[in-house]
Amino acid sequence: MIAAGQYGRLFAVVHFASKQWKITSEDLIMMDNVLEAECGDRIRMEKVLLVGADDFTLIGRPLLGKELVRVEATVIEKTESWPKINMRFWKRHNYQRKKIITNPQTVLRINTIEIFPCLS
Amino acid sequence: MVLLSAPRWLRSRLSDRFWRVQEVLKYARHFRGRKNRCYKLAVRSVRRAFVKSTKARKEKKRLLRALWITRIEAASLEHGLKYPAFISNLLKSQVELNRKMLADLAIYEPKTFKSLAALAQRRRQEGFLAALGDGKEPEGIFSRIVHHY
Repeated sequence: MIAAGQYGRLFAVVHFASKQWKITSEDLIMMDNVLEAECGDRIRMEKVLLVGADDFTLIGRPLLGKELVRVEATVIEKTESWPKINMRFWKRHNYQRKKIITNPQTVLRINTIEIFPCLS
Repeated sequence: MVLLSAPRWLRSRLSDRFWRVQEVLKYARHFRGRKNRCYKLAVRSVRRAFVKSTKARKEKKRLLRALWITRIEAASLEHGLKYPAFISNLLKSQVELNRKMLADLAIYEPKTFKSLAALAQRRRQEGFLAALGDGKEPEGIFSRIVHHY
């Protein structure tokens, strides 16, 4: 089995922050929300939908088991987005509103993706 | 003696008019024509630009979803499946990848997409057998539903 032998780079499809991401190791991910973890915390991502390499893929229905895959990430940065301008305007009614929105963002770096072949 | 009212020659006038104007003009510098220089024209153009960008942020979500659907349709036709068949069979086999992911996989991981297309095709055949056979044939392997409790 290839899973017992060698495979190249692994990629995984992970469901995180209500979005699906296709990630590999040494990847940067930016989310548009706050994560309750300090900078430098290691995070393990469960909810893996797909794992693959060059020669094989493991498709979860809908999720893969937690004992099969392990995805580790570290929180790098917690910033705000660039100031986005929200403007509403109705012509001939003297109505205009301008609002500047900065969303909090979090940057994660994916450290490793590992699989533990334990087909029952 | 205390003067209770100010003399007529004393007025309060704007001192930072330059910066208030620059605040608007800085968003118009890349426009075409006189509206990148003249404040009166720039105010109108900048206001329209902001309103358009606010509305476009909602449209972007629709546009991107349509783009992903087009890409998935093209990729699945390469493997001999139409888009409605592909999506419905993937959902019936409990694979919950969304359209953004499927489009990305079709671009960057063609082999994985081929395997997903084969999975959808197999599930489709089993659906046909279950509907047409209607006998004592055993249920297909891919039609079994996994329960996570």
